[in-house]
Amino acid sequence: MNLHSVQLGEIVKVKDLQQIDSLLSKRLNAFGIKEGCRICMIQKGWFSGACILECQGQKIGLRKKDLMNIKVEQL
Amino acid sequence: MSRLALIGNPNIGKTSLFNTLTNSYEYVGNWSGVTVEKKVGQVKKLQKEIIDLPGVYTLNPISRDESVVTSFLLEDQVDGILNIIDASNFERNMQLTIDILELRKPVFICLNMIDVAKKKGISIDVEKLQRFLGVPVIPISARTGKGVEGIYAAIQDSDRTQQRFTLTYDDLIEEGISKIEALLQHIPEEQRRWCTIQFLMENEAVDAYLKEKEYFEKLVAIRTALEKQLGEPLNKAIAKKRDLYISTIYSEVVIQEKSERQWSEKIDKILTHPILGVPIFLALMFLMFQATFAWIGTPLSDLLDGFVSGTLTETVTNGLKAIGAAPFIINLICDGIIAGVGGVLVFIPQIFVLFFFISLLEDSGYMARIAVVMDRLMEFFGLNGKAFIPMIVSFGCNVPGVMAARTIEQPRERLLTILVAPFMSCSARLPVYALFGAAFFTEHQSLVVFSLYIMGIVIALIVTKILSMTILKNETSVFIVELPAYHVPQLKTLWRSTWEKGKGFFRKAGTIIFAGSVIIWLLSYLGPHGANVNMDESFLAMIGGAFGVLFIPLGFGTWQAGASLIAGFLAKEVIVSTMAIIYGVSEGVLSSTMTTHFTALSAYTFLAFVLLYMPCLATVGAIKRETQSVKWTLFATLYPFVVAYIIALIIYGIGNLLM
Repeated sequence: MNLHSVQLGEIVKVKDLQQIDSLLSKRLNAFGIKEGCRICMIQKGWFSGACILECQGQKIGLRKKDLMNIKVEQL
Repeated sequence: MSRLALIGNPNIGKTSLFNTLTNSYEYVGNWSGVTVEKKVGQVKKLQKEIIDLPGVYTLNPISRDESVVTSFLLEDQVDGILNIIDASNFERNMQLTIDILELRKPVFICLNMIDVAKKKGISIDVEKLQRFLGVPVIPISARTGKGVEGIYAAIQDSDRTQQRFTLTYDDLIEEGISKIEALLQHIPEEQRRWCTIQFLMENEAVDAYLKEKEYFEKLVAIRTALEKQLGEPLNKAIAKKRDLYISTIYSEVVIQEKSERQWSEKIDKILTHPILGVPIFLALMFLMFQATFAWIGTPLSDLLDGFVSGTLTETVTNGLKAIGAAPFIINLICDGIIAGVGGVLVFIPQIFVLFFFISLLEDSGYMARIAVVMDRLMEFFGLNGKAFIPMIVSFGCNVPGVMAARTIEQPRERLLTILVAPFMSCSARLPVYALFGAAFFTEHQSLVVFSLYIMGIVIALIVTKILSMTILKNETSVFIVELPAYHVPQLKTLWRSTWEKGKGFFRKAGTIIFAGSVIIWLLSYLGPHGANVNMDESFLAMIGGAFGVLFIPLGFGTWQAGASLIAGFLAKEVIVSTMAIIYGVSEGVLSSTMTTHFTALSAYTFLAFVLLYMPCLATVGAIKRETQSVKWTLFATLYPFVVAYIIALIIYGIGNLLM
């Protein structure tokens, strides 16, 4: 399952971050988002717009295409 | 005087803390290589200087403003580091803290946002954290200034001994570290380990710093061999060890309880709503302009205008006559300097109100939400949502707007943003609108001005799309933005950042606008047939006329328009100074004279042209510094002229058809 298909408000576990762009991966790392951490979908954009996620007490905005590359699993 | 550096993540109260700690501050020169102004503040109590560094997540830089911090730590000497961390986001903040601790300078950790953490159900055992890290940890509230005494005390108590924080990595890595350390003899012993670890993590700023050394290739060879031995990327291996360490501390010092629902969650749901987000943003922008023009700014400006053109001019004229000054001098001062500089200074209230609102947007945390809400639209045009922030900043002034593009990670997107940011209508263009608005569009002034702001955005987007499909294509686009917690901005911070933006305007009034006014007045006073000529026969009319011919198809092909547009390259306000001098001298009633040279349509066309036609001199300078390229600077300076001409032609053409 990828992160974009998660329901609003659902908390999932990050499984695989291999597919994402290297620049983005560096930044996600700095934000402390890595395999095994829990992440929650807060807001989905219209027309495949950017989504807002919550992870470890911080909120970040990410694009749909990048979310599609993040594999997650249900808790 | 000894110096401390202030380092922390973005949006966690760093600027508030800086403002609380320092009595006075100044911008001192530039960083080497990149042009971020160095902000240095004085702490009288400690007899120390504090250097405010850009907010970063780690010392391993991605964007350009981040590399400033690492380069600073490599090249400048500081006596200690104030590391501000966000208690409500402990794990992420510790990543940077470990980077800093490994530097082995005295570190003082300022634990901020304890109240926010408490609301999230998080509390931190300060004593325990202190013991773990071996450096002072001071709980503070940067906003209210609570706990600042603790920082003073900690700094005074510190006996200047080196802290020896060491996080031991896996044996293989440690072996590699000692091999590299042995080569880095020119680096002070304390910093050698830090430099080595950063090098192993492929920190670009450290690579650039070591590149010139003759042993650089040896270093790279060690790094590559080590990575092969490990069988995984080095930065991953190092990060793993750090994560383990951080989670150990976390489990010992952080107590997480059930959190209460926060008010900001509800607001955020509405402000970032997929459908309502954009209209809410536009409504807020309109409200901001309404306040700037209709409610607060314009009434104050009118008062000031009455004073400058009435009382002040009369008093000065009488005073000069009384001391027997020559008519030439009286004319120069009253019709040249007071008309020119004063004509611009009366717009100070409007400009400050606008700057105030922009600072409010920046400080409240709403900016990042705009980036998310706007990302889909911006993606379509070939940019990302973050590019919207420089654009809004450009509403204040294009110079910081161009510089704000630094936070954009992707080089191509950064360049694109720099190229289109000057289309945003800055506050210097505002006096021009106000002048014409009062003369031609009294009824609908706010609407006319708002339409110009929107026009700026729309043209910028269209140009972006064209550029991203032609000369600036390829490269994948990246978008990631942190949404900081909302907070009510601190008054001192708000005032400082408003003043920060506005003071440049005073400086301009005293320099470029002053000089421009004197030159323009002289050119209007002198002609081929001597001094004090009829203005239509002055040098100014000749120069303006030659240039003005270009604009006949646009409906404002007069020498007055030509002359003011040339002058406007210095700074957009000079257009108003020029007009004030030209029309002020000839009759005194500005708006009625202007109607002889402009119709409502050609006035609007002229405003659109002024909005788009060329970045001002200061912006060109900023573009040069930011792009480091003469070619792109030239392009950025000249192509808007073509765009402006086409747009003005369209507006004038359609307008003529309709009328």
